[in-house]
Amino acid sequence: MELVWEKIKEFWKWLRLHFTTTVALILIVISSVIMMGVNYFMRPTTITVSSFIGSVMTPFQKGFNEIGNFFYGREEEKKSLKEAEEYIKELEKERDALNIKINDYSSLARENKELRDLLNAKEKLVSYDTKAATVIGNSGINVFRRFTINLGSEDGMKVNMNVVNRDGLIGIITYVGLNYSIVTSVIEDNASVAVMTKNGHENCIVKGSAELGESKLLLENVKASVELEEDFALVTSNISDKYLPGIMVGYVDEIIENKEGLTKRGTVKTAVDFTRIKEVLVITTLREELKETPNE
Amino acid sequence: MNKLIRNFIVAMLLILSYVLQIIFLPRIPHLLTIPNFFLITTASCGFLYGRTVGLVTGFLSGLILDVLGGGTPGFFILIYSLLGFGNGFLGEKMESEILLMVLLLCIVNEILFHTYSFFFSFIIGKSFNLLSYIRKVAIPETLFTLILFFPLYGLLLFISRKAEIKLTKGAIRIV
Repeated sequence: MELVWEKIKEFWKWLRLHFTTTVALILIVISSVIMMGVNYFMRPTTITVSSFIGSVMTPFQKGFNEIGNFFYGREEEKKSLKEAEEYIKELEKERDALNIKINDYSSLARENKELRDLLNAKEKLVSYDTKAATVIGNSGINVFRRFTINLGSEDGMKVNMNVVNRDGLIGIITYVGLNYSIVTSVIEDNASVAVMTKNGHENCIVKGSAELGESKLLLENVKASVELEEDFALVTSNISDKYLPGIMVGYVDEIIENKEGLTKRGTVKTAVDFTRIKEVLVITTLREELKETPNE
Repeated sequence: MNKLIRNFIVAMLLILSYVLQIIFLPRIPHLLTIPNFFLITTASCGFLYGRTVGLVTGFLSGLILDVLGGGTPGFFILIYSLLGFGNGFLGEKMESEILLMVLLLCIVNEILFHTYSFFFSFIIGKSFNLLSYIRKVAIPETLFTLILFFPLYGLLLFISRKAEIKLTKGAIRIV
């Protein structure tokens, strides 16, 4: 038994003397193959050499990582991120400035169109002197029943001056201040306008009514003999004492005969959109002044 | 004295390889691949200094790569140890100063390394397509390593001669 052990020791000595390196290589190869095999086949259970080495070396790894970052890494990323943020801020500023410009331009465009339309309207009423005014205040929220315009007594405004726009009759000035005036629309409750059909034959009265809304006028107590049908255009009458004749008021919406058969009633759709009024024309000729020279 | 200087040089080379390959170069943003400094070190030291030194160099390179670079332990240890040993074995048979020899050394090492990498990559859990691997990984890295192999090998040779370190085989033998 001891002889065998002696022989083995001799063999080991001889091996170590001549083949150290080779032996070492063989040992390394075997151990690494075993490690790889263990890792490959027993991956879920990581109580292996790799985890041991990992747990020992992870602090070192972290330290080396820090060194690496110190020399190169994160600063580059931070720099480019900062640059990107600055660029974004600059672009946002530019965008805001451009948006303001867009708003200006679009409001200018709208004003342009309104003024053009007003000019067209003005050409129709060329016999009357008109002054352009802008709405600066409103008593209602959505609807313009009583609103304020930017011309007053110092601009020559007087009570009872008619206010129109390109679509038709809006209302009448009911109060004049120094530099502003208050206009009451035809759709205001109980405001009434004497109207006639376009051919000038039939006369009736339209009234504003709160319950009808902002686009309809009340047509009531029309004599049954008066010829009125749907879509008839109605303009301000010759016999009105406040409104200049011939201004478009609206179109007949519906006509119903009353029970007794003696009168008719109905509604009139206004020509003017009373939810959107910004620029208006004030006719500076008063009806009473016209009475001296009767119109046709 | 001789051996001390040699060991010191090898250690320095290993540290340099580690710093360059694991800390510095991977973080440069626009580099395609990085040259394999551990391979250069192992091949040069093995070829010039013999089997033992080659084996130890290879073993240490593999150890560093496996432990600090992540991945399965034993993967790089195996290949680099074998390469170091093989280079040492070759170094005893061949002249160490012929340019062609240097070229062949680098190319053969790279081929073996990439073959091993590819075929054993399934062990660390990745799988590649052979052609794409050759085109995208193997060839750029080989070229990069080749470009750096010559100056580094020449530098090592020069330093060894100057420091009178005993080489495995060469025109001038200083014993």
